Amino acid sequence: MTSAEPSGTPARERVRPAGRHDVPAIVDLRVRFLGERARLEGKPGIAPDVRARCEAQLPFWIDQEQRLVLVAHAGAAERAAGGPGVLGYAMGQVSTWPPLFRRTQVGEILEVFVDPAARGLGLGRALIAVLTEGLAARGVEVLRAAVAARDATSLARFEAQGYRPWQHVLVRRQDAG
Amino acid sequence: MEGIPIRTARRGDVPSLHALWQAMMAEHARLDPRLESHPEAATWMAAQLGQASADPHRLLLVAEEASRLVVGFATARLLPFGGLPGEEREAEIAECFVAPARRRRGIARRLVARLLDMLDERRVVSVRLQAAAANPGALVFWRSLGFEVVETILERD
Repeated sequence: MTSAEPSGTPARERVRPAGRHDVPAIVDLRVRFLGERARLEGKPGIAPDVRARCEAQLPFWIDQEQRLVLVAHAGAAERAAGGPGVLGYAMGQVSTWPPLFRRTQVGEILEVFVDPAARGLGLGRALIAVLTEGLAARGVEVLRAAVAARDATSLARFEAQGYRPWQHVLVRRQDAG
Repeated sequence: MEGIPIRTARRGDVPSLHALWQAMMAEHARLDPRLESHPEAATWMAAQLGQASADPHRLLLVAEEASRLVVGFATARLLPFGGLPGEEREAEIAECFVAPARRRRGIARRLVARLLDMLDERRVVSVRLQAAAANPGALVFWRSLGFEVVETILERD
């Protein structure tokens, strides 16, 4: 990773495990992530109680052994200027899939999101890299990540880190005629 | 509609469904070694099919020739629905397979059309499924039925 913020802190050094004090910032980012994902999938929107659900779930998720929640934080210069402290987050989990395909111990990258105002600094790449390493270190047999098909930037970012298309998810709107 | 009859699966169809499912998995593994079955997959699936035939949240259809030979099947399951504003009734097509010797007769298309009608009757708004990235023919088939790729699942060893 060579990306760095203007003040020089490498992006990777700005990624750390989330703590409970990060919950409000992650909730803000996650609501935006879910809205963006719904738009990319052509869904009409997100449920009105999504924020409340995120506020209830995140503290548990942060504490769960099989789950990894990371944040990408702002550098000292941005924090001194009064900007947001958390600029992105990523979440993954170790799960045991049913014995259908050969590999059942799966490290799943569930969500990666960076504030649009902080994109281009390498934070997304850094979040993926740290999450990949964290899940791999837990002894999984394979890593999987679901990415919106219209999100060419994220697809390219994952492919640059060795991920390859495995399955496509297709949707049909029954009311589309 | 003409052609091989499509009907809801019965418990007695489970052995035929299981044999077709194994043929489907073998075909997938030939397309992409990453889709190779788990050593316990056949046993696990036999139990799943037995339960599914009695599950009201699952739909199982078979295409049966006059000789009572089941030559294709398609399954769907209704996804959990919370009923909150903004939420939708969703379903997933889990499998669709026709024996290779019976292909190019529109059987898969008729199985799916019937499934979609049944899901419509259950007020399902959105239907999803997964297709192997290594199977471009499947993507062509599903797109021709109005499905659109919304997500790609990537894998890394």
